[in-house]
Amino acid sequence: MTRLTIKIMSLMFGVLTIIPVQAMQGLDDVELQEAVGQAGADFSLKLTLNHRSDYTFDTTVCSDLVYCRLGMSLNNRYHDGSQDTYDAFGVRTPSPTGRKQWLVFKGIQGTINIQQIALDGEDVQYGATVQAAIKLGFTPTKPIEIRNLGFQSLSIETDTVAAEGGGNVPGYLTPATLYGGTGFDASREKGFLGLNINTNLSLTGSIKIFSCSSGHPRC
Amino acid sequence: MKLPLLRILCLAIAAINTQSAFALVALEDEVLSETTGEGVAILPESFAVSMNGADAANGGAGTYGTGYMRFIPVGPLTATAIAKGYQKADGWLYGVSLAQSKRDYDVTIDGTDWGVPFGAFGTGATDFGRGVTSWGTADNPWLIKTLTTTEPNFFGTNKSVTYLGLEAPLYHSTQPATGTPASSAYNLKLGYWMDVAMRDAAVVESGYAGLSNRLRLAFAWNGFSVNGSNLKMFQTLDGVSVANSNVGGTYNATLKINGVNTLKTFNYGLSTSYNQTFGMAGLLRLNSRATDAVRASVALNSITREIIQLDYYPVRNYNTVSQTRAGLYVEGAVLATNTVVSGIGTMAAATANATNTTAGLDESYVPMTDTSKRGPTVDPDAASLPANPHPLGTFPYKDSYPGNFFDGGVCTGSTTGNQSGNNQFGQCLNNEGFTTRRFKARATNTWTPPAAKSVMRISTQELLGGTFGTGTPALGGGSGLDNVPDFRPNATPEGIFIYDMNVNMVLGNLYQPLMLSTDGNNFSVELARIPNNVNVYSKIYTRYESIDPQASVDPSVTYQGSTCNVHRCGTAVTYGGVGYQGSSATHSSITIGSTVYDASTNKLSAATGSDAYGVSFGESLAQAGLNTQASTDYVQVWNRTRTDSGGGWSAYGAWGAVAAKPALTGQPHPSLNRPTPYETVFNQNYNNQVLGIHTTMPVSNMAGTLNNITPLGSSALNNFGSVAIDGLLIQHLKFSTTGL
Repeated sequence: MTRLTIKIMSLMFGVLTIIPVQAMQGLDDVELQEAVGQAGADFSLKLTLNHRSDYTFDTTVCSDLVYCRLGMSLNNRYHDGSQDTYDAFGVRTPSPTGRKQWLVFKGIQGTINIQQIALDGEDVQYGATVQAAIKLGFTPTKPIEIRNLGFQSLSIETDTVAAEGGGNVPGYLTPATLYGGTGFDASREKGFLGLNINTNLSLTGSIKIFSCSSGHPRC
Repeated sequence: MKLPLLRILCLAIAAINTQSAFALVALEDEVLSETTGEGVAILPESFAVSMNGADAANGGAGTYGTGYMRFIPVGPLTATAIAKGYQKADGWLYGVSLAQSKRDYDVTIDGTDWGVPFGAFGTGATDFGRGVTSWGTADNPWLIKTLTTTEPNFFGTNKSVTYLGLEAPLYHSTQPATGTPASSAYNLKLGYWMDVAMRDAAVVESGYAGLSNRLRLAFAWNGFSVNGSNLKMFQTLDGVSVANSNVGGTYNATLKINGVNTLKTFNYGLSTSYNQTFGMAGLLRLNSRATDAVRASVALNSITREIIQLDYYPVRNYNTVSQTRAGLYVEGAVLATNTVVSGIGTMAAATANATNTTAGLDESYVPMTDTSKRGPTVDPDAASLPANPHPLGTFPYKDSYPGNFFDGGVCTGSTTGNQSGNNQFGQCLNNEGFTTRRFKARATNTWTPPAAKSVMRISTQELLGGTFGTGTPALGGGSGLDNVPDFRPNATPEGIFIYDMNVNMVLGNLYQPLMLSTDGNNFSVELARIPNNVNVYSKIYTRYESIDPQASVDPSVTYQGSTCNVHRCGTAVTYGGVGYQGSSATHSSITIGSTVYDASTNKLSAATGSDAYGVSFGESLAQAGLNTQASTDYVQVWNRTRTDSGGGWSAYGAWGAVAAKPALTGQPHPSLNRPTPYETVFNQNYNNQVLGIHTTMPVSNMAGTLNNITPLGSSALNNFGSVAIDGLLIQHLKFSTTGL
């Protein structure tokens, strides 16, 4: 995790240094102190998953329902109750006989439109310590639009081959089976309990995020 | 997980904002990799959130209260459920909102607070609530941090476990003052409402088709905190194995079944699926305030004290199973009365003493006579229900009482041989009886609940005069179907009201994790069974020293468990000079309303007096004219005698009160001691009379006894009193879906 983060940071600094046409010039302490931080940035973000533009389930993208799923498999959840083994260094060897079991969210879909979050910096003070913090600000009239977010059903599905061996069909790719017949469940994939969220998530106020380092009373 | 990213980012922003006094210095990878962020602190300020409708109303915020989460009832019903006529339940959860109460912490709230389960951010009468001024503080923020500790695995072997923790601000040992930013975290308001309908599984989903029997209810909780809560996520430790006795695998035991010794196999209750999987542990603390000193007020009006004659009807209350009669005491004439405006009574001693007469005397012993004097010929109890199968009383006659009575008539006449000596001669000379007096104090009283500071209301009735939607907003439909309900209270606020609830639930620990698992296609959530291993259970169980001060059970084991309640939650901590409650307790506590707290044992119990409050059907409001009384019944034993006149009996003398005998002590065996010996000497049960009677009448202090009886007062008629569940430990819990 640490390595990954550092790489991202390096990349970020890399981008910052490459984009300007002119070479960057160092600022000394005095110059820095004179620099005035202007208003922070607003950012917006729209995430759409398996949706048409009118927030309905995209049956073209999801013509094969198998590819509109989210699967989650936890450690040591095998069909035969077998276990992973760990060597002295904590390196995991998966169960040789177990077929993985997955909690599969079938028919997953949704659009989340974060219209505006104000990104600022501000200090927090605890004791005599002043520390910088990221400040995320929200406007109630610019809510996070959540449209038709959720899944059609939950199901436990199992791999077809032990230890994810050759020819394995992962549980989350288990062929879609509808209940069929007539009635409420007819066109739904087998499973239980679906969820559907439609709302404007309206937030107000702000959230400050700061590093809780060793100088902090609770860290 | 190390988090250098955030620290650097913070530093960068600080630099941009000019507070930083030093220029940025580039960090090498090696330096960066040494940077360890101990955690991420999060501090919401003026923060509130609500699920508004997915539309552009209210300036873009969306229609208040109509944003929803729908729980789609996929999957078949069981054959059993279908046979019983059950249907699927289709539910919409609307308008989930979290904010700060519109009034400051510890300020009295009313129907404009708990009666509004959704609405705009603000402090107006129909607004939901305002932002939480400071949900935590800079020195006591929300924290996301990763820690590594050493804990016993399921077999009691210490192992290192790393967990990701989300911690709410800690719970202050001393509550912040009203109006301070820190107090806003103790002043939250949560609201939502829901529609749940039956859905016919045979009908294709289309609008309202197939929906029926809508249940609509609103929920609002105004005045609580989540401080002290935390959630940990981690990989569970190992240790469950067939090889580890008492933990994994099975054992055999011989059971005697139908008188036959039979060998049976049992498992130790722990599954190998506990090993090294995704585990969670939570401490859920939803507290309103400490209520050990909060009570309703009970005010008595003038008190009337009376001494009432009780009349005894011995053959009433016939029990058809045991074929016995319990008898019935009925209040008769009021013999003396005294009324005062308040306080103790003023009845004079002479007035009270004068009531201790033979009026209403019931004979408990009558000398037996002969056959011709047997029972009444008319049923004295004909009106009683159920019908008395033995209607006629059976007065004594000699066939009923075989004994060494010389004369054929048993006390019918006195003849030589039954006048003295060892032949129970006294049975023919004495007549015993008793009177009963009820000392009663009665009054009317008013009952006033304490000022409402934290109210949870669950209601279903909508505001009269409003437009009632018969559908549900999510499905639209117009024509009033999709009207948004208005749950503001009517003139008499309806619903279930829960005042000052404190919930402190310990859901697992690093050594007793909460896990997700599956059996085939079914999904389950399981809280691990506590292993039968001292290294584990000694960290969970509590030694109640007040119950077992000698530590007679497992004297060598130090039990570390304790109860988490609003007063204490494990070992208290101090950070930055501020005291906070701990989070190391293992047992849960749930209380509603007034409590009694024993700080020495950390035990909470529910207050039981008439001043207890907590659960109320309809708003808890002051009520007047409530009837209250307190009474004690006192018995006086009487005796009268006659003498042998040589061939017959003289007339009985006057009844005389029999004084209470001193307690009988110092007997050869303690079981023979009699703290309340009977004053009646002769026993008979031919007419369901009481067999032994003790004088309890306080003859030397009748007026004083009565004058000091004071009614406790009645509570409001809709007040259901307080609730306490304390020291709750979850030994093993598993929720599972079935039939998939």
